[in-house]
Amino acid sequence: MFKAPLNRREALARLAAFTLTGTCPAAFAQQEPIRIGFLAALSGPQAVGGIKEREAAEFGIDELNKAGGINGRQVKLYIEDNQTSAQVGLTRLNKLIHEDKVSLIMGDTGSAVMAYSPILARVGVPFIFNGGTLPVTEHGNKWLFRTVPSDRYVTSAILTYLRVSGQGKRVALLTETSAYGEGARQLIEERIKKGDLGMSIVASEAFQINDVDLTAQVTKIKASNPDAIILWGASAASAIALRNASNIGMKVPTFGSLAIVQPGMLDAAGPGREGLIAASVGLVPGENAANVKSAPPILQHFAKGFSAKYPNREISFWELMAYDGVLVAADALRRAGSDDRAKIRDALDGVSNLSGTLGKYTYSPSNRDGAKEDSVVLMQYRAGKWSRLWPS
Amino acid sequence: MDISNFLQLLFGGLTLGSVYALIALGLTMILNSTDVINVAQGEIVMIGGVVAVVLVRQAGLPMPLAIVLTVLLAAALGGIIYAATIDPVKDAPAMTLVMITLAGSMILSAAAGLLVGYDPMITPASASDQPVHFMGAAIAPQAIWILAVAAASMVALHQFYNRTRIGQAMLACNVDRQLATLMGINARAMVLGSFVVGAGFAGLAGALIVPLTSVNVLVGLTYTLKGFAAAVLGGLGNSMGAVIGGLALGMLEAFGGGVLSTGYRDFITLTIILLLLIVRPQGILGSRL
Repeated sequence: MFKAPLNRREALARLAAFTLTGTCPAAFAQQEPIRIGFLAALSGPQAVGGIKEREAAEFGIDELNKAGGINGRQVKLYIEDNQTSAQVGLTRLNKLIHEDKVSLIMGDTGSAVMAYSPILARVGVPFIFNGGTLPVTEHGNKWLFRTVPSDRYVTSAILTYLRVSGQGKRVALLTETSAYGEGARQLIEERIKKGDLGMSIVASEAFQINDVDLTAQVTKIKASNPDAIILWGASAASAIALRNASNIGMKVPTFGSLAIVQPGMLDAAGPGREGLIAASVGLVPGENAANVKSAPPILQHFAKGFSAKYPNREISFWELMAYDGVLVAADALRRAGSDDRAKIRDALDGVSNLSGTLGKYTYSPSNRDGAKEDSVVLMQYRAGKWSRLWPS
Repeated sequence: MDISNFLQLLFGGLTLGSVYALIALGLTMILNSTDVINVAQGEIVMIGGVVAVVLVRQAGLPMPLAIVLTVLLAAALGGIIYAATIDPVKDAPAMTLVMITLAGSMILSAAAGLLVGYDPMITPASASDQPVHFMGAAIAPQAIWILAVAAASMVALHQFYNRTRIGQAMLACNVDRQLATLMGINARAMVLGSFVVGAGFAGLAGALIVPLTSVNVLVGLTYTLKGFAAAVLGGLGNSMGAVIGGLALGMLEAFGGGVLSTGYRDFITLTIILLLLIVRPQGILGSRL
């Protein structure tokens, strides 16, 4: 019942390939393609990012195939939608593993991959994921590889900026009660407690994903008289926090996570968005890679090619991390020279100093973090647009 | 705690509490006429918020007019929900009806998601958004609006119940539907009326709160739970209790979070409600037990 439409889609794709080229592509005739799975939210609340990831992953795979594939073999991408739900994602994951028999999987966010983690470890499938949530790689699962900088590096970049700019000695934390928010809170607390930054945490407040009013939290924070607020959350409640803070007349700079840059969020934050400083990776939204001096050549290359395919499109961190996922996968597949999942995992552990759009990638069995602190960009929102704040 | 922080929390609690009170009022009306907790009530609050945003943003209507239209639309939606789902099977056990409203809430949330997407939405900011300062506390003008409109509609509901024939007929149906029917009251129309008015209150709550908090299509269940907690706290089935329960819940959340710990806010609030209900199972004003 569920297989029929997929077979039809595949048949249509092959038919299209056949009619377009007038011949059966050589790879079909000679060698089986290498199968790679892609799983992300392509519908539901998180689809905005997931669709961008898919486009960049497809772009990367196309580029790879046009250049002759991997060791002479073409790569075929199997795309699945988790509908912004880890439960749906699990069924799609099982399909990719058992039906499509993919050799490795890319995509998805930290909290979804947390749910997949036990299956990936049991069956043994390498997964290159695009989430900052720190705990994902802290449970010793040997099959997980991260592209974006984890929250360890993002929070660290914010604290470095606070120290260097001398803006914040008294820091207030406002975090979501989720793996994302809690993870960041612990990281910041641990880092500041070391004492070498000369900072102190004067308030640490929390909020729930579904909260509709955070006046109590921001009132407590205001009473603690902080120099800076670090806000960590991925839900609309973060936007409400900004709005409530500006309502009660809070004037200190607020630092947000990457998630605050989602569509609708700034709108919902109202006047509270003015002056907000947020972390991004690689590029600032709306920024042209060609004008960024610090952008690595591979980022320039990607931006040029991707803009040719999707004109007038802003390139965001979603595209960059998905494209980096393809680069990392290709490097490992080349060296593995096999479809065997364990061999590919070992080859991924051998990725060393590989240039990606976000930075250099080096994995080892004890280090599954991808890009590091140097890929983090801080940006500030003023009068309707983001501009690069640090590093300039 | 100094006086300005106290006032800040007090106003925050009152504002949110009066929204909870409106939701609880709607739940109570429907409960009284059908013995059903309408789980879709929170979705109507969400739809009220979404409709208000669309009317102001896309149609360019002024906020007061948008609120009136939203309430009418929500009321109509309540009537449709009753006619399409509850009326055809109204003799089914109450649990079946609750499940129907749960299904209705999922359908409403998913349909809203398809129509407007999942991003948070909010009415555009206006110059009159500048907070009013009062003894060191900053109060959003919308908060004062919410308090005034909520109070006015509660008074209006009270007058409706006690001064109009239809209101009296609805009350009679709540007390004993069969007897009311024998007295020549069209009980079915009265139940329909309670759904219409109850949904109208939910829509009003949604339209009032949206300029302060924004709305997204997944927020409905939160409002159902808050409204239900408020109704239970005040005394399930008692309209005045719903109002008091709503305000009490808003205060508990504001001060429980603001004074003790925001991370444990819901834990504190629900523990206090639980303790209150152990001492007084019928709620603050309830008498139905």
